[in-house]
Amino acid sequence: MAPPPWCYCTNVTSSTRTAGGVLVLLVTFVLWPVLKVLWLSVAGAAGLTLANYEAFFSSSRLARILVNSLAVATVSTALTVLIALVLAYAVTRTTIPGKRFVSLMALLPLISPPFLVSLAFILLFGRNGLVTHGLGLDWSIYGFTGIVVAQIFTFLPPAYILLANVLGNMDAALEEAAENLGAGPLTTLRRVTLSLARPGLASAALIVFILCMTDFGNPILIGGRYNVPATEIYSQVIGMNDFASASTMSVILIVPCLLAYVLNTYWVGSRSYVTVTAGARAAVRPTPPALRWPLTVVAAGFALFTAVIYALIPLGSLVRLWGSDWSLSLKHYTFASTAEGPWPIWNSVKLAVLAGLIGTVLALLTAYVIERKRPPGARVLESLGLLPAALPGTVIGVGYILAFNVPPLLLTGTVWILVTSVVFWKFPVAVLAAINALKQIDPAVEEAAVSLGAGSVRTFVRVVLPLLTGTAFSIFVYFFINGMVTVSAVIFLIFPGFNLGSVAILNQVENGYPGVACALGTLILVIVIGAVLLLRALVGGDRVAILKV
Amino acid sequence: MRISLRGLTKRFGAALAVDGLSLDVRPGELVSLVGGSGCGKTTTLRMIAGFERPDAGQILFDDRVVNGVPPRRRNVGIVFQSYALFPTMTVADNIAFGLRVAHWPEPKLRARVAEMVALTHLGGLEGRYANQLSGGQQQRVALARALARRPEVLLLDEPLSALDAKIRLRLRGELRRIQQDLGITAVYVTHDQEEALSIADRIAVMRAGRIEQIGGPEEIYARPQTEFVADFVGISNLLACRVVSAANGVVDWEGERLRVPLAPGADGAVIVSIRPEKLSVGTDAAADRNRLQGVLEVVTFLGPFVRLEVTVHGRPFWVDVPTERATALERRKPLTLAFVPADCVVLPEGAPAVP
Repeated sequence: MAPPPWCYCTNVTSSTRTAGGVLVLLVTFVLWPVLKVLWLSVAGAAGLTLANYEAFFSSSRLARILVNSLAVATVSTALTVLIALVLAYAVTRTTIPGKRFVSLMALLPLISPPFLVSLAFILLFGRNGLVTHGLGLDWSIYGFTGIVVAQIFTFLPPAYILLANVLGNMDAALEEAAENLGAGPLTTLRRVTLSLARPGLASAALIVFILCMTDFGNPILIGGRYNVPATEIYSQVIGMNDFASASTMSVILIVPCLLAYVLNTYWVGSRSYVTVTAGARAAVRPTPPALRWPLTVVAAGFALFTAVIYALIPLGSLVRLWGSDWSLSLKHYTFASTAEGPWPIWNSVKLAVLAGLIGTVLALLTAYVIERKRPPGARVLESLGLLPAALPGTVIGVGYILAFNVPPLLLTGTVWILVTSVVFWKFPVAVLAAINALKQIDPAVEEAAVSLGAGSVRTFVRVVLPLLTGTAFSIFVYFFINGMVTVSAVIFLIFPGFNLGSVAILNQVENGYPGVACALGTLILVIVIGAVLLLRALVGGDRVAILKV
Repeated sequence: MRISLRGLTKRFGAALAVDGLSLDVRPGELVSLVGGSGCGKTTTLRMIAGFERPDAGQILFDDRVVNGVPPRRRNVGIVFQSYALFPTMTVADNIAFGLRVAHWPEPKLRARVAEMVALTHLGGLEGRYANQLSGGQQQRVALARALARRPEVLLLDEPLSALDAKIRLRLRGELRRIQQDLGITAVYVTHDQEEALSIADRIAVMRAGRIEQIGGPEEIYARPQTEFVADFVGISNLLACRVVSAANGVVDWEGERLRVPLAPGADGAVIVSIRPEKLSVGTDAAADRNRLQGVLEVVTFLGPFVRLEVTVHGRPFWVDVPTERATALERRKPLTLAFVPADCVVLPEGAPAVP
C-alpha cells in the first residue's frame, strides 16, 4: 500500500526546515564575514569608494607583495605537482621497492602543523642551522627559497593523493594494450599513462596554487623579509589595527584564489577520464630496470628526506641549544620561556574536540540535505558550503573579527569564534567527503526504509547513519587535526588567556626559542598521531581515513 | 600460424593457476577456452600474449619458442574484456596507435585505418572518443585496433561479456565472420559455454588449470567424456547409477532398472547423463524406452519449447518439450518420462562438478 499523502507533506516540511537551518548557518558563518570584508574595503566616510584599492595599487611596496606571492605560488606549485607526479607514478604504476614508506612519507604533512616543515628547514639551513652553521656558510634559507622549499613539503599530500587516485585507478589493461600494440615503456608512459593524468595534473596544480597563495605559516616563519599578502594582512591587523587596508588586501588575495577554484571546479572537473570499467584490473606491469632504479632512488631519497625533516622536530626539542650546545636535555619541556607553559596545547585539544564534534554533525547534515533531500536551492547550499575552499585563512580571520565583535553575535573572546572558524573554514572537504559517501549508498536502501513505514528522521538515524560511521569518524579526525594544527585563521581570533599550541610555536620561534617550539610541535604531533591511532583502534582499522585537503 | 602450448604451468603464490596444459591451435582455427572463474583460461591467454611468464612449459608460434619474447614483439592482437580503449584518443587514433608505434608512413597508416574502419563498420565514428560510443561500438574499436597491425594471432578475453544479450549475439557473428575472412588463428576465452559452442571450431573445457576435454561443438555437446563437461556444457540430467549387468547394459538408479549403452566390463558406480530434449512425456508404447514415473512441479515457457521440472524419487529432472505439446500438462499431476537408451551418455563417476 502506498504511504498516505500526508506522509510526504511532513517530509517536505521537516527537510525544508533543516535546509533552512543549514542555510542560515552557512550565510552567517561563511557569507556574512566575507561580505563584511568586502564592505569594509569599499566603505568610505561618504559612501562607496575605491580609495583603498587605489592606495594599494599605487603603493609599489604593496603591489610588490602581490607579485611576490604570485611568483612564490607559481614556482611552488610547479615543483610540488612535478614531485607529486613522480611519486604517485612510482607508487601506483611501478614495481619499485619501499612503496608503502614513500606513500606514508608523502602523506605525513597531512597530520602536522603546516609550518613544522619551515621549522625543520630553519634547524637545517637557518642562521644557526645544522648545515649552514656546520659548514660555516654565510647563507640562510630565509626568503623566497625557504618558502618554496617548505611549501613543497607542506602541500605535497593533496597533489599526491589526487594523482595517485588518477593513476592508481587506471585500468591496467590500458598499459597492456599499449604494450601489446608494440609500444615500449616510455611510449606507454608518455602516450597513455601521462596523457590520462592531464586533467588530474591541472586540478592538482590549481588546488596547490590556492594553498600556496593563502599560506600563512611558512611565509611568516621562513619568509624573512619576503612578504606575501597573508602575512601583510596579519601585520596590518595586529601591528597597525588597520582593518580597511587588511580588508582591501584580503579581497585582492581572494580574486586569484577564487579564479583557480572556479577553473578547477567547472572546467577541469568536467574533463576527467573514467577508465575503470567492467573487467578492469589494477595489477601493474613489471617495470623495466632502466626506469625502475632511477625512480627508486628519487622516491626513496624524497621519502628519507621527509623522514629526516620530521625527525628533526623531536630532535630539536631534546637538544639544549641548537647550533651551539648539542647536549641532550629535557629542559625545553619545562616551557620556562613562556608564562603559558604547555597550556596552549590543552586549549588546542579542546578546540579540536569541539570542532570535531560540531563539524562532523553539521557536515553530515548538510551533505544529507544537499544530496538526498534536494530542497529548492540545494545548489546554493552546496556553493556556500564549498566556498571556503577558495578563502584564505587570513580572510576568514579578519572577516570573523569584523562580523562577530558586535551583538547580536558577539563571539570574539570566546572559544566559539575559534570553533566556528575552524568548522566553516574546513567545511568543504568534510561536506564533499560526506556527499561522496552518500552517493555510494543506493537510494533504494532509504526508499526501502520509507516504504516499510520509517519516517525521515528514523530513516536517517537507523539506516543512513550506520552506513556512514566510517565517513563520520574520518570527518571527525579531519576537523580534529585541523583544530590542532591550523594557524592562519585562528591567530586573529585567539584571546588573552586562550592561546593555541600552533600559535604558541610561532611565538616561540619569533622570540628565539626554537627548542621550545620543537617541544610544542612534538607534543602536537604525538597528540594528533595518537588520536588517529586510538580512533582507528576503537572503530576498526581502515574505516577511519585521513581526508585530503 | 600455429600456436602450440606444451605442458604450460603457472603459479600465483601457492595457487596453481595453470597445471601442465598442452594445446595445439591450428592455423586459421578459432579455439575457445571455456570454464568457470578461476579455471586458468585467462591466465593461459595472458601467457600466450606474453603478459605472464609460464613457470614451466613452452609456448610455440609455428616452431619458434616465444617464452622469452616480450609482449610488444609477439605480434599478437588482443581484445581485452574491458576493451582498454585509450580514453584520451579518438577512434582513429586508437586504431592507429600500433601503426604509429611501428612508424608506419602516414598515407599507408591512414589507408590501413580506413580499411579497419570499413571492416568493423565504424564509418563516421572516427573522430569520436571512447566515452561517446556504445558498448558494441567500443568492442569493435578494440577489435579494429587489435587487428590493424596484421597480427598473426588474435586473442579475445571475454570480448562480449560486457554487452547486452542482443548485441552480443550480433557481434558474436561479426567476430566469427572477420576471423574467418582473415583466416587468423584465434583463441577465445569465455565463461559462457553457449557462446563457446556457437563461435568456436574447437572448444577446450577447462577446470582447475587443466583441459578437461577438447573437441568440436557437436562432439563436446553430444559426447561429453566427464561428468564435469556434461554438467558445464548445456544442461544435463545426471544420474548416479550402479551397474547391474554390463553384458545387458542395465544399471540401477534409486531402485529403477534402466537400460543404457554400457562398455563391456563396466562395473561399480557410473554417471548417466540425459539431455532435457532427449526426454519425452507420455505413455507411448514403444518397448525399447526407459520409463520413470514423476510429478510435474514447474513449467517454464521458453518460446519454441517449454522446460518442465519433474520430480522423480525426490530428484528434479529437466525436460524440454515442444510448446504445442505442453498444453495438456498440469502441475502437481503425475506423468511418465521416457527415453531411448542410445540417447544416454555413460560417464565414469568423477569428482563432483564445480557449479
